Amino acid sequence: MTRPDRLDRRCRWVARAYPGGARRVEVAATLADANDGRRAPRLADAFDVVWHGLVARLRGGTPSRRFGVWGDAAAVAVVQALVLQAATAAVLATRVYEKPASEYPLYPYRPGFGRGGPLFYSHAEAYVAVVAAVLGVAAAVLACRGRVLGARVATATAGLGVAAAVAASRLTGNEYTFGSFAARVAAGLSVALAVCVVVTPAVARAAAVVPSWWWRVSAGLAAAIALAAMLWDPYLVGGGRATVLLASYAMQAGALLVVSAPLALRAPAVSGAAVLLATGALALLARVVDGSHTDMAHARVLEATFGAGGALVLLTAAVVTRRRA
Amino acid sequence: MQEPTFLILTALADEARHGYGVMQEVTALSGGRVTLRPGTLYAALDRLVDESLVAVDREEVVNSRLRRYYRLTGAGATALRDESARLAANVAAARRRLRRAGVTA
Repeated sequence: MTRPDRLDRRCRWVARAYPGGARRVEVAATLADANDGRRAPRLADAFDVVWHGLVARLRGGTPSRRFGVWGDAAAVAVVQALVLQAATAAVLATRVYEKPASEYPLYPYRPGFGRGGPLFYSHAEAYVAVVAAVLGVAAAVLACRGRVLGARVATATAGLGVAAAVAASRLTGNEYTFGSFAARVAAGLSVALAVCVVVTPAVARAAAVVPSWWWRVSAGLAAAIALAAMLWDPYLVGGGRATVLLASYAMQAGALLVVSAPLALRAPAVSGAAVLLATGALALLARVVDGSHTDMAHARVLEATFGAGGALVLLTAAVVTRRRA
Repeated sequence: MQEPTFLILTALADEARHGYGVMQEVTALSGGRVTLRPGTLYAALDRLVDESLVAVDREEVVNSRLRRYYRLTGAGATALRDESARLAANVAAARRRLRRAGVTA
């Protein structure tokens, strides 16, 4: 490998800090031009590129034309899934049962444990969930006020923080000790911050696509419907009756449909369907990561069915509307 | 307008230049006092493109390296002219005061 080749390769590697696209290639070329005759870019130049690349990612990066409307759809799906997740976390946090973790049974929703039983194994997850819920609301408020960067960071941190904290609780054991608390919080924050850099370009696209009223309406509705759904959760009331189960998941699916409809109305048909499909998948993923329903295959099937069914209904409606037009 | 921004606009005033060309020109214009690094340059260029003061002119691939040329827009030329006038007025005022104080500038 010749010296220029090696330099180009290293510059391309450093420029990977930038979001994908032509800008990354351009930065790598300029970095190589500025360091011609050397085997590697100067440390100061490399640091400068990495720093500004990360800032570009946080600010939404260079919009990619490659995905077009699909990118917008996926972006909005990410946002609404996170808002829903934060709203659900707020509800869960109100149901923490104050008992030492060692007294908890293996499954928190075991029959007989009673209404108001814990969905979190310790206070640590509850605290993280409360913080996440506050961040979720703050994200919507910030987005409405045009503070896009703050909204992106808050939204991503909220959703990912909850997922990471709950997932970490499975790895670090159920005992509530200072060590496990620190481990969970650290895991939640570090994963959230790391993934935030990856997710924020998508959130940025959503912020650009979605009008501010959508944020207000969807955040409010998502919180209200998620609250109603969780209040009816059969595992919490201890019944497990099919009608209650169906009503619960119908409401969750309704929440997805309601928050997706405004976008579907103003975006092309395919993107509307993509939003719903992606949202369904993300909701399913969140539920699996959560761990509280992982042994309930029928619950997962129901969620997937509602997600896919909703997408199909919306896609059909959009196609019919387009043909009429 | 910050000095690097002013120098970037000045570098693009007479002809379209690619990123590295702008870096070299800024160094030359400032007498070596201002040196832009690639990340800083593109952050500034992004902002100037967003503000419609600079636009992409064309792209070329030289030695397998992508070079995107930037040019000054009409709004960019106006902004540069206004900023130059403001700086010139400041310079004139400073010189008048220095002359009055008996200091030759």
